[in-house]
Amino acid sequence: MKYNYYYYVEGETEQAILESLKKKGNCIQSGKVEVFNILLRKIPVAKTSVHKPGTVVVLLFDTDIQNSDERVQCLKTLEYNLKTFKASNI
Amino acid sequence: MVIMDIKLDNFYGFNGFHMNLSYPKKIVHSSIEDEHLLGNPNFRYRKVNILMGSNAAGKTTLGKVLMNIFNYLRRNQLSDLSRSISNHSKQANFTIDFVPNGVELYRIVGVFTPSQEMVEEIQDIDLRIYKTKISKTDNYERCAKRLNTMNGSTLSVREIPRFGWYFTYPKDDFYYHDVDAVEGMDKSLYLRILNVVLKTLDSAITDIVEVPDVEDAYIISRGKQKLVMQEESFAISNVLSSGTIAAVDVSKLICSMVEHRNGFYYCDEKFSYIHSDIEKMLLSVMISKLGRNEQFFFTTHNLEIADMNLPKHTFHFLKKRFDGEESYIECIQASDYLKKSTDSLKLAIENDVFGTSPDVSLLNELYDLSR
Repeated sequence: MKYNYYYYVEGETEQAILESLKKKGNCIQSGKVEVFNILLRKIPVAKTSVHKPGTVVVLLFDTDIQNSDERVQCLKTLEYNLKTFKASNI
Repeated sequence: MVIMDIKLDNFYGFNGFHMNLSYPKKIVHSSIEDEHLLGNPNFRYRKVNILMGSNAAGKTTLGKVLMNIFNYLRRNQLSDLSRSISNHSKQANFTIDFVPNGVELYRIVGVFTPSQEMVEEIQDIDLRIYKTKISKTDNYERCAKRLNTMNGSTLSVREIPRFGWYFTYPKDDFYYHDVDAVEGMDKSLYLRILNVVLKTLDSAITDIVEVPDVEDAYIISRGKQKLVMQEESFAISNVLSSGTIAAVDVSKLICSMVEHRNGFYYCDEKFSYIHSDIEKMLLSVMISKLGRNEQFFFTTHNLEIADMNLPKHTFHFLKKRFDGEESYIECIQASDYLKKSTDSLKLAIENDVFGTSPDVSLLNELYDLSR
């Protein structure tokens, strides 16, 4: 283990899956898990300050949105969040 | 005094709790010297125990249960122990294996009978005490096996050899501290330690002297100011920083360790206001002062402590989970997860390898707040 890992997950179901995979060992890299819907919420810039530069952030979400307008909005939010992470060297 | 094993059920948040304090093999070039009973290298015990974990995970209450058990054994004071029972309608029990004198392993099993009535305290306790002699080649596991086979007549509390303890908690805590020692403190030694520690924390402090003819009173010179401190309380406490005030207690603890007055030490979050570098240095000083057949518990939230060059078996992580209304506190040993000496404990904590990080998801709501 060389890096810090941090998981942003959509909901409590994904949180439980990740916690269980962490416990099994060797399935995924261990890291902290936080419920934050990356498709619906913009990451506040100040929130990126909790991560050390170089942290590997893993985003976990599903793609079950049917409505196309909603889907476009979600993709825009995701794009914004990815840019915010990149700007913070994460 | 050395604790080897603790089991708690129905005390505070501890249900089915188990913590073992032996360790399997000798660590070569360990920074903790003589981590075994005097004259018996096979009887390995964890001399230094650093407890970490989220808030309200049981770090403080573990110390309180131990303190209440000791107080019951020494002073026949059952009320505090009884009050730490979580559910009075259920049986509460504890088992503690310990070595009070370096030569015998004692096991105390205490069982509180449940009460049908709503009472604040249960006075009905069934106590069983067993002991076995520790031979030169024994390890803890072998002695514990012998104790497992004993179930006949038991010893009385009076037959347990006298041992001391030193529990210290943050100042705002109801308990604050509880000390049982054979002899009084060497005042000149304490004054020397107090001078060194307080001057390190506050460079404005120039001198600390005893007030003649007044018990436990000191004058702290800080520039032109003279502050009077008596029994750890200050006449003008807002002049000194919170860290400096906390360091007064730490100095007392160090003094006790230098003198080997208590033998068992539990230092609970005394360094919350103290700089990390000073905390690390003082922790290493305390470790260096620990004598043979003595044991030290230290609780902290400071991740930097995990980067200290200490054996992995020194670190314990407490984690609380809920099953319905009942809470279960689990003790996770870092050495069970990190096998190589090169594994970084700090990185493991940062990556939540032990599953003890708090869930901060709820705090996201605060970002959305506005007027």
